[in-house]
Amino acid sequence: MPTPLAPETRGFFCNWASARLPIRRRIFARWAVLWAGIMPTLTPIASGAEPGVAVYRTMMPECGPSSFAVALGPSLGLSYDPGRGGVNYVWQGEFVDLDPTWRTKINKPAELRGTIVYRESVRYPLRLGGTGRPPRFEFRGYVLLPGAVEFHYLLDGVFVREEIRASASGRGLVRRFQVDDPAGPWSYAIDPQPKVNVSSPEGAWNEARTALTAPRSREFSLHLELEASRP
Amino acid sequence: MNRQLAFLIALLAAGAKAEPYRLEEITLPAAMSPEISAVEFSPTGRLVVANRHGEIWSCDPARRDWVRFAYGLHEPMGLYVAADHDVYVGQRPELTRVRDTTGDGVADRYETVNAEWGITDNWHEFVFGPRRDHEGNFVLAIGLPDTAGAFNQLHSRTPIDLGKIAREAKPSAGPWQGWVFKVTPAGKLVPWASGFRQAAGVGVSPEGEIFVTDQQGDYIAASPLIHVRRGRFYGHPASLKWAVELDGRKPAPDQLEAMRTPPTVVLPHGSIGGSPGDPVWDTTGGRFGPFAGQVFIGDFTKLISRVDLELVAGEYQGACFPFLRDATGVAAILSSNGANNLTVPAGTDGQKYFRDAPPLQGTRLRQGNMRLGFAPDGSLYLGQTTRGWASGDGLQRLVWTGETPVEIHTMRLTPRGFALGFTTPMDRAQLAQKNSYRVERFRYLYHSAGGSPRVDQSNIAVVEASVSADGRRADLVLAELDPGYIYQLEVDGLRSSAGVPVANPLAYYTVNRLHSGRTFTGPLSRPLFAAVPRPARDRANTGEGRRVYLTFCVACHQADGRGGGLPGFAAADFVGEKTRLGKGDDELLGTIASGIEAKGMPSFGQVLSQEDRQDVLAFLREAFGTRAANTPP
Repeated sequence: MPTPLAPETRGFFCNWASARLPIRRRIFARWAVLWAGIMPTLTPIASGAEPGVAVYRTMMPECGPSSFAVALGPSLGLSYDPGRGGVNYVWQGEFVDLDPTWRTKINKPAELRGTIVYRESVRYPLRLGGTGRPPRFEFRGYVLLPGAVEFHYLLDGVFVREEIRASASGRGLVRRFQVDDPAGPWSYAIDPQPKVNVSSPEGAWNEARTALTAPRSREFSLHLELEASRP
Repeated sequence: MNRQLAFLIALLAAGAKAEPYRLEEITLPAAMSPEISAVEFSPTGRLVVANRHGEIWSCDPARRDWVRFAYGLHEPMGLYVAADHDVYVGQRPELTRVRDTTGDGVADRYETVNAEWGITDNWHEFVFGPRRDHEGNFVLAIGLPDTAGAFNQLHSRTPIDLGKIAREAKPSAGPWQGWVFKVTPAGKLVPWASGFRQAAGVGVSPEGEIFVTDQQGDYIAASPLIHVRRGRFYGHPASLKWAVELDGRKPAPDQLEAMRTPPTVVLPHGSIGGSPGDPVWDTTGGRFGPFAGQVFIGDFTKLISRVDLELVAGEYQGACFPFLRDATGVAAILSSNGANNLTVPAGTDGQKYFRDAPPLQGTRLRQGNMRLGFAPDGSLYLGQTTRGWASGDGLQRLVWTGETPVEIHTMRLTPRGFALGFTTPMDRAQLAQKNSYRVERFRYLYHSAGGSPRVDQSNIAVVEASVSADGRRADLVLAELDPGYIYQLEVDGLRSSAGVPVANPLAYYTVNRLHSGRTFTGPLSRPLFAAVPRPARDRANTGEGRRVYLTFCVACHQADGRGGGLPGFAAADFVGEKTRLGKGDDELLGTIASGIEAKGMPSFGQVLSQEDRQDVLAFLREAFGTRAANTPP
């Protein structure tokens, strides 16, 4: 049988024990932890995979309903939208406070504990088969992997796996796409992202630097690296 | 002297008698949120629970070696455990298959089985289930949103007109909200039936029939147990937005009446709880006592009820009974009068609803009993969640001690009345006396208002009572037996042949149809008869007020007056907050009549007469207050 999860592996902001404290004590406890300078180094939540990766489905601010909050490390998080598909945004800082989603019956979205450094447009940005129109996105689930999460979905009926993990520097992320049956070239629309370097070893920028494109391929990846000057 | 001695011996014998059921606390790990939202057992007998924080935990029930199997789910409210490593979970956005494929006991794959229903981030769009029917389909239900909460959402997966929703009094924001539906093993959604407000309990009977409980509120007069049949409409019109055959048309009230299938068994508000959860069938083969095949229903109030179903003219209907209720609240309410619930004479007005509680030793039954599950050993696990409405989450279990409870076992419709079956041989002489039975009947109204008063209420004479040779059955012939009524039966004075009183001497039978097939044809939204005015009186009647309180108020304000209670209601604590009853009579009577919409308190102006309101206020002051506010100190 598996080893029971130790309570101390859970992060403070998502810890039930802390949520049970009276609100004044909770506020005091948080400020005390912040004052002590501990908070930025907290591992958010044990994930069942490797420490530092956590995947929660919840109500996220400025996202479609029941989006994902994913912690890729101690100071990098992203929200993934299973409704429209794709990354809503990436943030630097602590994880999220899920307590507002749990506190009362008329609950509120989770509170982001960091600074958003990357956003994606509303329509799903990956195009397969050389078509320019937004594909029909159908979410099919996810897999927890060591140090990563892999989202599964259909794009116009074509099965896609998208693995997301922190980059080697810890200041960015790598999205690796696997497409079961690519009908043609792929392209990925990118909104201009100040101070975020976006690249793909398999793809090339168009002239306007608004999209990465590449010939038909079963696998390709997207690298998002935050500039060192970001806090 | 001899009589006194006999009484003392009987009292001592009763005191030494073992209780039929024992309530136990299940200790949860400190790391687990105790907001239990699903309770199931795996085919190997492991206890598997979900909580509203989105986790799934499991353990060997004997060893309590809890492990977290999954996390990060969005407010799961139901589980189907296919295997220790393979669990289906109903969460807000989808039905998900959660599996451990690496063999470490922790889930790594979260596969979407179906996500075809609409969602916003409104707090009230709860998803209930899955249960599995005999064809392998998953059965689920989605509740209607609440306009008290926000609808702010982006990127909806189905078209949602937020502006239109904001203008609707009773919205169904996305497809299949307010419906019961199935998901086939291949993952296809099949709409099954409409008209639900918040079907918080989903069950599949041993015969494979679908049943749900719904929540009292608009269009739902009192919380019911409903046998769900394909294509039928059960009352709340918001769901009809998605009925293809209506093509967007809104039926008029008289059309709704014609379309509506009445609830299978009504659980009268107050006396049989107020917010039911899971219905579960006793399939323990007698390991939970003498109720094999019957239905147990958890309730948000401190109550577990029991239902005996039967087929009458091709449709299910039947009787409900209190089964287990927390006793300490009763003691509190009675202690304010210096009385003890164990010494209250049977039949005293008011206590009748609560004297049914077996006095428990030690552990108290908590509120929030929304999830029930029978364990392989025959015990009944009670998962409790109360977020925002009360306090006291957790997991308890109820164990039959082997002592046969003295209860009304069955209440079945006959051509001229009812046949009562008992769990033990009863005192035949008492059974044969017509005045051993008190029968009333009443109706509830089908209308858009929240809840309903009891209307067309009258006493019904028992004209004949015949008894079986073994003393286990009594056949009652009633002076009037008509469809469309709920028949209330009280048997306060009955004793077993060993002299033990009936533990829960109260039952309600919902007569939708007679054996002849005759059904109610009158108006559903108004009474048949005008209420009979009461004679003038000099002062309020606290005894009558207690009856009103225990019928209409107790589900929210609790027997001990400390509040909490039903979903949607933040009930006042009369005991802890002295200012509640510190207001003047006129203000409090106005509150009772008008309600407090912002706090979810319904108006009772159309439900209770002026005399009823005065009586209940007098009772509140006597039971929970220190003095009447209008009385000079």
